[in-house]
Amino acid sequence: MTDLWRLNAREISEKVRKREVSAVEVMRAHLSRIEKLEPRIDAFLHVNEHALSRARSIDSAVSRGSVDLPLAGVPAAIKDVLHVANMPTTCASKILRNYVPPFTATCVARLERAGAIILGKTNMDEFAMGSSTENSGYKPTRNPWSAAHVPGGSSGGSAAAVAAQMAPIALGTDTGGSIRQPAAFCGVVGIKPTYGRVSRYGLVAFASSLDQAGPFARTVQDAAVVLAAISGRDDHDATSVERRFPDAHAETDGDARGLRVGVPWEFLKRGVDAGVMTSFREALDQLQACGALLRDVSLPHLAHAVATYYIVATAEASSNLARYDGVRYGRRAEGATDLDQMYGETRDRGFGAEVKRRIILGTFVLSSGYYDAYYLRAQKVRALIRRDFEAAFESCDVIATPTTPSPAFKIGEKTDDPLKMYLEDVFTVPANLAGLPGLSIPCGLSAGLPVGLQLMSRWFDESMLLRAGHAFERLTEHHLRRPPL
Amino acid sequence: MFGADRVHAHEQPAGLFASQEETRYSNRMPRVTEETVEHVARLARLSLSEEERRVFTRQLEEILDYAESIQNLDTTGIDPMSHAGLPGVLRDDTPHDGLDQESVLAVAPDASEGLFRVPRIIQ
Amino acid sequence: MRDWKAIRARYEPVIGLEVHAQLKTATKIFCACPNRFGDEPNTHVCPVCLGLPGSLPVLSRQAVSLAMRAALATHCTIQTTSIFARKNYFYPDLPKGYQISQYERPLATEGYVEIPANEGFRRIRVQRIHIEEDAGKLLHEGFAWSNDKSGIDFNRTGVPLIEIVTAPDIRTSEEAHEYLAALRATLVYAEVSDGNMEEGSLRCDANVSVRRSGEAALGTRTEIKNLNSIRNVARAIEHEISRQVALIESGGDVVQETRLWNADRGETVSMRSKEEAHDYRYFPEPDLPPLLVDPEWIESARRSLPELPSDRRRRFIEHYGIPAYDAGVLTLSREVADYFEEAARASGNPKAASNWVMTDVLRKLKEDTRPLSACPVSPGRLTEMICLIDDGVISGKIAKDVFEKMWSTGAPAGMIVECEELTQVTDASAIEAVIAEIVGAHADQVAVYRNGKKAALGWFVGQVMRKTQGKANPRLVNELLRKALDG
Repeated sequence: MTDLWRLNAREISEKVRKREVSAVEVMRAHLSRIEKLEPRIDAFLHVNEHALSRARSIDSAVSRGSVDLPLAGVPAAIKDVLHVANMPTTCASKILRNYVPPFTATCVARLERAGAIILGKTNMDEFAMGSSTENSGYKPTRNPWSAAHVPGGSSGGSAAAVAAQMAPIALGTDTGGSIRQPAAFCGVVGIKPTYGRVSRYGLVAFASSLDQAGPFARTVQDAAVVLAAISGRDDHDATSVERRFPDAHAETDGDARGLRVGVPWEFLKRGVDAGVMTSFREALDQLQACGALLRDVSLPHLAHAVATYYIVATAEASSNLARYDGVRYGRRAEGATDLDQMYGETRDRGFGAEVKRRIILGTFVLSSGYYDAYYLRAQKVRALIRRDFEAAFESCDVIATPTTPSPAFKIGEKTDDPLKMYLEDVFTVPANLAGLPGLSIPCGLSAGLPVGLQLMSRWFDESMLLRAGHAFERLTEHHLRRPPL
Repeated sequence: MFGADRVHAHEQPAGLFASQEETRYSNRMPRVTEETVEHVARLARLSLSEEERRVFTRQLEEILDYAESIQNLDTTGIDPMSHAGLPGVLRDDTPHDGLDQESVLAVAPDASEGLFRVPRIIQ
Repeated sequence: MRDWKAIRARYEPVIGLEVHAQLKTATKIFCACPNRFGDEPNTHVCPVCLGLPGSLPVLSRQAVSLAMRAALATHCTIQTTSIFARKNYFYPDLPKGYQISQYERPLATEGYVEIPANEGFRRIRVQRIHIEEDAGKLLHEGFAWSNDKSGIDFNRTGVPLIEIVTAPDIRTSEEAHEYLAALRATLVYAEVSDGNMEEGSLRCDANVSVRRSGEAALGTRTEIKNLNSIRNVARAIEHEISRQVALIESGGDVVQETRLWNADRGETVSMRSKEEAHDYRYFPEPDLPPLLVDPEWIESARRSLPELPSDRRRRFIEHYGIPAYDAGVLTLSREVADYFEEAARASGNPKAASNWVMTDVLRKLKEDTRPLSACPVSPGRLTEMICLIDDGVISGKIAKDVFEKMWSTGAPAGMIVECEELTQVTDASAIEAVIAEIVGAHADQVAVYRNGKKAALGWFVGQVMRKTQGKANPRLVNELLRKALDG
């Protein structure tokens, strides 16, 4: 069986548990797939040298009768912003080159407890700041659908790895769209859970009130299994909560009958690529065809979401990144003779341009004289955006938008224009600001590049997303399309 | 004292930010100057090159220009949303061992005799 | 200086104190590392208190409970919702680049601490109490490399602190002293903090300004740091008041700045423009949800409070009839107050118990520099001795010697009195015999007495006491002498 890399997570787990294939065989297939494709994709920053021995222990656990492993032997790629003990975490930043954390992120540990095997750490925009993975301090990742295009970001490595079938599942993090946007660009499923659903312990913070870890997969059902595995309260994260998460399999068996789908048409009037809009309209038709009811919903403050997001996120980031000071860990600039020089040069050399830009912006909006006009005001607009959603969910169960205004752009196309890059996030940042769950699911191609459909639901109502997403998959074949590799 | 700090927090170093008064009342924030960026970079302990300072000044201005739209929204009576989550759970007062000294200092850029080290701080 | 006192008297100092107290929890405020002082450096550290990437703070319930106790003991109102904030600045002892504190919405507001005033008490208002984390410790001296490097120990990082901020209600260095003594006693009574200033578990910064008497506007204030004992707080404030008055008198202006107290030189020194760029960029801490405190929790904190020093003092005055000053001294420490109260109750003589504790027990403890817990004379032993006096078995004078012996040997008073035959002579015939002997041998003194110099009686008393080695009952001696001399 040389094509084991074609299998989805649920198939792998089932076969491993039934001992039809071994976890070792599955792992070998994926490692050789990585070996073959990695030079073209550059999705990984680190490959786990202990993956095979871990696969062996899964096999022996299964042979001893352990069947309660929903992800038995499933290889998983982990964004390099999530800690795996004894593996480097660099956040794709030079300032953390060779940094090895002393603990494993709770969501990763839960994935491993479910039987998954860590394949390695994936490339990303430095400290998760970016929408293209071009801001990696080490290398850009390429879109498996077209080497000239970006995979999206910041979780570009995880999305590309799943799309290129180097891994059936991956974890990413989403602060303003960093799971959903690369999922859309690479033609895979990505979920940003409700804020608090997944522990942030071991997730290197970008913006603490917005960050959430979540799954990438090639099917909604696979994403559901991963989400179920990583969810739940954690004593190490005061913002995590325990919310019932119904059995992943049962929840995805429904159809879309009676599902009320809200569409904020006023918000989609301008700036959306024609091919993306065509795919989006088709997707709505298909949802309707499987029983969904379409509604026009109004979210008047969404027009201010990007501005609000970039104030809130960078303010928090400027504080979160203060700890990279060259004192306790990481890289310190050589030769500094006084404290300020040590700080200034360590941080100037260690951080890339986008990170510095955001630290400057975030420091500015918190600084004396500007706090009220920017930070405080943005917090209030954030409350207005949440209120918009509360009102909209009175009349619908999910809200649908394209995940992104356009498909993947070319490498280098937007690097000189940060604002243009920020506007890529226009449809994804609202869910982070409000704390809502969001799903991106493939819904077609535009000029040969994947297009994503975004669905958002009420707080802690991921079941609704999964039900709608799965119904959509059953009616369409977008999720079966693979990049031409 | 806190109340006083807050008042102080709104005073400006003279000359650093142009047209501060005007902005209070016109809803149009001031031009970002290279001095502004330099001041902020100093707060953030970033030693920027001249080129970086020049580019960041222009980009910061563009971004803030774009963010200008939120200045005109009516936020009267709206409580700022500083947390996305729910009230959290607290921790029990039971001690656990942390990390051992050796492994903690092993990843330090500079350590000796059980201590992290930095260039001498002039007292 | 021409009549400095008169010049000084034309100014009114305005003083506010900011006190940081370490809370007596078992663990640090946001992680499970032990809250312990004096161990090897960097041995009580973990990803959270070291600020490692990916770590998150989780608030200790006990830290909140202790902070609430402090708030209730200082009569503050506890806010049912308070919010943590980040105070952003770079310093090597601050691992995350920010300190987690509370800013716009502290845990407690609007309370007071009572200090003794001319007649009765005066209230120093407490503006706020908030919870925050301590920083690490920098070591600048003592290593071969100390010339060009500073060392950092993060054991103290994340130790829970409360900051107690007064209104600018204090007017003299003595009042500052009284306030700190009262606050410390309260925090120690309530078992919130060790209150040890020398070890740094209680730290004080003082905001000092002066204005011409009668003026309403406040003068420019300076903040004085590095005050490591209550005595130094008073000294530093006194010095700073004088410095400011002299500065203004010579036509200068006080500059708003932070000054360090140098105890060796006895002066405050400007920290120069070190803080020129301070802009802490406070904002709500997103990693910690708002702290909600329900009425039951507040009630249980209230129930856990012992009787507080100011209440106890009032009760001692009323119930035991001892002077206000004595009650103040006796209630400064909970242990001393407990000691006194046990002896006062058991002996039924509170006045004597108060005198013995104030003059003898506390003096001996101070001489030996031992804590009350290591006192060789227990309240029970002291009671026994007081009863021997009250029963006329020993005189007050003999009792002083007995007390010394009790202190050095640990033996009970009764045993010492018996072994050393110190029992008072109350047998009239024995005393009469001694008197007869003395009167017979000193006819000249008898004549002096009888010629009207009644004061000569004292001379006879002294003679009798010497002959009886002080054991004769003085009242009886006086009575019998008069009888013998007056005929």
